[in-house]
Amino acid sequence: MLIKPKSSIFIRVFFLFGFLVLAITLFFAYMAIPMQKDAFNQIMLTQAETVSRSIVQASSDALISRDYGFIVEHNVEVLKNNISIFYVLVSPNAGETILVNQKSWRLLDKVDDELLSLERPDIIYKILSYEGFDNVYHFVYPINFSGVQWGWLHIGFSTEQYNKLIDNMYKQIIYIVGLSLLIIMAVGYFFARWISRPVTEISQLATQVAGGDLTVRSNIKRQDEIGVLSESFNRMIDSLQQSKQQLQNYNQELEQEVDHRTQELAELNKGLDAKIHEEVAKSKQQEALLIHQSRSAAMGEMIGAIAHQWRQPLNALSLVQQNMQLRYEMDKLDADFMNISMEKSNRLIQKMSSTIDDFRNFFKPNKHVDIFYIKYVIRATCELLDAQLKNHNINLTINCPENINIVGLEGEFSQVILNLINNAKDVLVERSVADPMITITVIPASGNGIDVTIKDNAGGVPESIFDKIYDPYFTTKEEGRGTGIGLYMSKIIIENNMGGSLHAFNDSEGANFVIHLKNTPPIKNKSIV
Amino acid sequence: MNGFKRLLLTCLIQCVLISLCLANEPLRQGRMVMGFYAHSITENASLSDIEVSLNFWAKDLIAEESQKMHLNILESRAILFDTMPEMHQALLRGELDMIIAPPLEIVREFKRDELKDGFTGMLAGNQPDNLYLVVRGDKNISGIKDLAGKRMLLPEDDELAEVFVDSLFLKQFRANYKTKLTSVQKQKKGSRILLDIYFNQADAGVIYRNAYDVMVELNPDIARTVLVLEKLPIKNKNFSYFVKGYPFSVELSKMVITAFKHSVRAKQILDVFRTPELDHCSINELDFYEEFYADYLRLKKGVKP
Repeated sequence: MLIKPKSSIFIRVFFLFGFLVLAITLFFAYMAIPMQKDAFNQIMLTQAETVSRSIVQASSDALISRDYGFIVEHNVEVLKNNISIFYVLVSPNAGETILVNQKSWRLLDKVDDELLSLERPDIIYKILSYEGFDNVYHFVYPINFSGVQWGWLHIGFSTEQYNKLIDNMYKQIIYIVGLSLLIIMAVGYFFARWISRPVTEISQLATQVAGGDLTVRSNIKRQDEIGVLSESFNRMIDSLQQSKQQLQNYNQELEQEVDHRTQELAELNKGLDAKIHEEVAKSKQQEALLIHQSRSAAMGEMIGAIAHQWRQPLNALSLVQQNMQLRYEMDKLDADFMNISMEKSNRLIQKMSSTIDDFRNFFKPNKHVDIFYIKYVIRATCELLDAQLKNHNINLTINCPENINIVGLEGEFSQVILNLINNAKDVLVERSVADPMITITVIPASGNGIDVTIKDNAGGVPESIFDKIYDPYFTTKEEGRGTGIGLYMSKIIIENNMGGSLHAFNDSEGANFVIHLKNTPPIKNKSIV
Repeated sequence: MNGFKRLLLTCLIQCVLISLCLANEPLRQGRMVMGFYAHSITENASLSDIEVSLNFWAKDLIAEESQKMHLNILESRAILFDTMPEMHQALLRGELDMIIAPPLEIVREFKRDELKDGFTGMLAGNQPDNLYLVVRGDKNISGIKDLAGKRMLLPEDDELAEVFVDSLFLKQFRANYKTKLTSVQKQKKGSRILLDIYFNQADAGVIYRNAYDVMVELNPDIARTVLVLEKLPIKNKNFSYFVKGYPFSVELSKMVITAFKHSVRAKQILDVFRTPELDHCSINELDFYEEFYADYLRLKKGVKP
């Protein structure tokens, strides 16, 4: 299919060629006009000077002797034989001023001012209107005899011949330009065709090639750049054909390789599924183990706590029994003392029993999402550890407004508080900090949430282990005292189950663990503990 | 066929026969040699112009026009003569078929039976030329008597002009004009005579009316400055007469007069001699000049030397 672009090279070359040739022609015409006019002016000047000199020479005797009859007669004759001369004006310094024209002659009283202004020592001419003639080439010739100025000869020449020459010149220029236009159109057409035809042909072939047809070839045989382009085009098509063939071969090989790899991947995929299932099972086992270990650790903690809680009532109960035995030996055991001692013993036993209930309630999994007051949960958790903290003289301070509540799993939250207080207590004890102190601060956080900060004054977490403290089984405690699960579980509870975050930082006194909770977190109602 | 139709048919046949006869009329062969008195024609034209006009244009014209009259002019040429006797001798030798000269010269040189009617030039409108005695208007010249002591210009080689002035002076002063004038100079051209009077180079002069009218037309101020004092009524400066016995005089005379009215070539020739028109010129027109000259001679005789 032939392609005919809107602004083809043909049109551009044609108009460019035409414009250039026309511009050059007009430029030369433009340059030639003033030169030609100058030449015509020179011709007029020469002619005028010749006629003037002739008249003066022929009339010289008459001029000197003031033989005006001869002057008139001669100039009448001159005008009769030269129809291009409109008039002759003889203007002597002294004497008669004679004006002779084609039809008459007369004496003038004075020379016209305009003509008088032209009477100068040198010859001069001017185009003017005089004696009823327009556009007269008025030539003024000074008459000198032996260096003495006699007067001036004014001759009015017709510019008809001059105008005819100018008109002819313009006509010739118009003819030349017209002829140039014809030549431009003819030569420009063939020139533009000569330039654009092979380019158009190659362009069409290139379009066919772009459409996928690699069988086309250029038949242009020229010994110039177009010929070279044609050969290069053909070589390019050959090269393209070879490349296409190679690509097809590569494609086939690639497809075979892909099929082969696909089969291998399918087989590998089958084994991978099995491995994933196996790994998931392992992970579940490990998680279950972790939960078990966590429970065990919690149980250990509970037992330790119960032991601490029971120590004081047990001592008191022992003292009650010793008093009762002493009274009995002293035979002072009466009913009142017995009732008081029994009442005191019952009260101590009741307290010990209450302690057990408290711990049992604490560790009992609570699977219900509920609204709870943070201060209540923190205080209850602290009471569990109260005996241990007092045992190590650790001063615990709780700064929490009364009315802050959140929605979530209360038991798991208290588990996190317990872990963080325990960790603070352990490091305070380990580092033997003077005036050990734990401060729990609850404040509303920006963005509709609350921040719970557990701060100690044990010197902080070493920077080298900051990125490891949440890893499972990572602990800095002595062998047999830490499981390395507490912080790991706490982070999972806060971030996975309560939609909050847990992070730590050091200040000048020690470590700060910050629990950030949202007021309406996306809560999972399943405890992981 | 009735009588009227028969008459018409007879007329038609006769017309056809006459036409055929005329068409088949044989050409008569001849020549035309013109003799010119050179001094009387060189005032208005240069010798080269005269030569061209007479030997080429006139030859063409005669050859072309004579064909129309069933004449075959084999030879046509012009001969210029410096003197009238030379021309007369040539005529007597049979070398001339026509003479062109001033009428006074013809009267003085030729006998009437040697010539026959010809033609002469006329001014525009078939007006006769006149010989004027002109004077400057500012010289207080109101008559011939006032010309005494003045400067006079006369046409060169024009005896009629000289006879005209001399006659006037003889009548007025009974003396030759040269004796009464301060200076007498001769100019070849009448126009120059008039210009010299206009520019106060002379006080009086004799020119032909044709020259006077032309100059006045060029500068009307001349008519105010230069006034006509006396005039001699003449038809033209030159008369042309066929030589007696020339066989084609009638045809050529007719041909010339008609041809010069429409032929371009003829107009060119007339323009050279500054003669607007041509007219028939009878041999009897010489009577006036003959009497005029006779009067002059009588006046001259009456003057004491």
